[in-house]
Amino acid sequence: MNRKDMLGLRGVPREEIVEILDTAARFKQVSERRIKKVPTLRGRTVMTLFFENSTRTRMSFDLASKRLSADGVGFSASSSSTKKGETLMDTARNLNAMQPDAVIIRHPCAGAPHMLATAFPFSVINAGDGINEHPSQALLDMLTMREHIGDLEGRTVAIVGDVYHSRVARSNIYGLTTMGARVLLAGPGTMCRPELTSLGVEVRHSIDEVLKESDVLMMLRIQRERLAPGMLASSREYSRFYGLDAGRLARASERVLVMHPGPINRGVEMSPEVADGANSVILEQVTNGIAVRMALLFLLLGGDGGSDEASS
Amino acid sequence: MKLLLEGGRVLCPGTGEDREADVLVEDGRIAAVGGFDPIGVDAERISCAGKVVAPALVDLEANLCDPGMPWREDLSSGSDAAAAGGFTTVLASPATDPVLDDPAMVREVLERASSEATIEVRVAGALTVGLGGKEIAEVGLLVEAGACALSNAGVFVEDTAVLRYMMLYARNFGCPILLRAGDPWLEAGGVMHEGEVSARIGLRGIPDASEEIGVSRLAALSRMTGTPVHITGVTTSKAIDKLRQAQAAGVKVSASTSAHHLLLTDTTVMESDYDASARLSPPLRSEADRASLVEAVKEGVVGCVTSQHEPWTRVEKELEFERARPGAVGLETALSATVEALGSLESALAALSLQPGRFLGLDRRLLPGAPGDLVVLDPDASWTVKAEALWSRCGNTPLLGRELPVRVSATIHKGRPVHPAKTG
Repeated sequence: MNRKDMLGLRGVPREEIVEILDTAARFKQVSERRIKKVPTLRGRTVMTLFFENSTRTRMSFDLASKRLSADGVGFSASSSSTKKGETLMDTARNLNAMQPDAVIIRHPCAGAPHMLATAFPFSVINAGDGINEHPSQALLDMLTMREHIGDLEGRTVAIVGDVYHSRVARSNIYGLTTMGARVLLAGPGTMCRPELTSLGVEVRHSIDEVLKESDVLMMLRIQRERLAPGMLASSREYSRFYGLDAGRLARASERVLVMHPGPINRGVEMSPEVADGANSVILEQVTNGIAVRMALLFLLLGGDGGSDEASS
Repeated sequence: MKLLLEGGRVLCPGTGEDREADVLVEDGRIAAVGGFDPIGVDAERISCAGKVVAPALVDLEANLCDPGMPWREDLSSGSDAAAAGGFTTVLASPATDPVLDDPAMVREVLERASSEATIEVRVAGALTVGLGGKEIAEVGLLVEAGACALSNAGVFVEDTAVLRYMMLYARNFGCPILLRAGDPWLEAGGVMHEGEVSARIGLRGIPDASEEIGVSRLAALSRMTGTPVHITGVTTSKAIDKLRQAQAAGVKVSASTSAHHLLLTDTTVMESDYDASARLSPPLRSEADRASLVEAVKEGVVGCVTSQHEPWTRVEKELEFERARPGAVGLETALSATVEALGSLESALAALSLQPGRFLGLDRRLLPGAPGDLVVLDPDASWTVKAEALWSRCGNTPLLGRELPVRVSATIHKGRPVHPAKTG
């Protein structure tokens, strides 16, 4: 893979996605050892720059850096100069002066990672920008799917919930359609808007319309803070029409994969027995997150090839 | 002072003239267009061979940011930018600091403009106090102080009743009214045109229905009150349909758009990787909207093209797309962008000179006795937009790096060259 940054899956060709997933699959076993570390990125500096709260994504990137022996440092907006009015570009100029090799950024505005990628020599990994993209999440989702159902070509993935405000959904739509999968959307009309069909997906009105045909049911989190008044009547109504419970699951394929990017609102997007049930791969997604992020850091910073180091 | 424009092609949409002729300007007015022997005329001469001589441009929507924001623009830099772009009359927006809602402010700006500006700066008074859209400003006193139009700048008046009273109240002062069309609730949170591109790149959209509703609302109130209204910033196909219907029914609604909207579309935001210089208000629209807009300008449904000049410094624009201020500088690119979009210099001159001139009561025809406000254009030259080469204090434009046709060779105001360098 010959790119400086991972800003999103829009426009990323199939071969590159495959390369990332293959690399991640090899890195997975590093985390299974007693000594969970390879020297691959020794001496490289990886910064995390998070302008939004995050626990699992940040921790996952931190562990990925550490398991590759990179030096990781973090910057969180709440304890920083941003609160004192410094602009993103000024913050980034300061970080750049410390000569990082990669900066992992999460930001409430779409395009913030692109600004840094255009202006600075360091590699930028988008860990979520506004409602735009969250590519590492989609990659870990695809890795998880691939482990269970193999090639994604021709498979059907339903994404259920607030697609409009979901960067996880947008990245998955790009990645999955590139891999040849068919993507169905279901959710309230305010969150699965007609213009989303231009992304090459089908928009359905109810979860019941997608259950039967789907190989994967990806349930999204309802993010109340992103919703304007009038977008959702109540959680009760949401779970009645779009929530996944045992009754609905029984109508889906027996081998359907149930996924969720976390954190789950139990009882809203899905019932507890579904979240913890046999079809759920939610915790595997978390495990795969580290492997995918190791692969991204390795491919962006470590150059090409690398299968030797990955399995060393 | 006499000025002789020698050997150019006279192009005047107002008279329909398009021929080789010398133009003599004397005492600030056009003295003769052809029909005289230039040999021996004692005048300063500008050779116009291979060039076009046309009436100077008129802008209806420029932010000169004076008073209050000299780091963005002021009367001097703004008028230099205007002159460089071929404009000799600019209607300055009341969106200054403080807002031009006070007669003393209007007087002060006009007084300073007479010495600080190289061109004619006219002032639009604020329709509502602080442009807040709630209380009607002292529009009678503003007009008395010299405001030649009334406007609420780029700010929507939310309350339809206020809008109605404003139309009824302001009409007694015989002054044109300029308003933006849109629905503030539909636009809340939006930063670009809502459509395929916004869905693709994850930016919140401003739906075209907002402008459609806005135009319908203004047209209905104009019909009811009988007050003519000029709608600025018309950008969507659906809004144009509503405008066309209203005009056909005899409602006195006229409209303008910006040169940026004629030339660029929402894909600019995607292609520039979220560069905030492509964030405008109204937003850059879809290709279908742009194509309708080009037709509407040619047809005259949208009669005027404006610069929508809105300077922002790097500090205000070097931000995340969603956080940057909307707007772009436009005075120096309006003509070239319009020619590029319309594919016709004559249509561009009609929309940038004749029509806005008419709106402000200015005679923009090349006739003896008309004001000596002219531009000399090189129709075959092209140029590349560079921030450092602009006369404006700011370089925020989505056209940076783009090659555009037609270069302004000289701008003449009241019979004197005001661009390039003041040689008169």
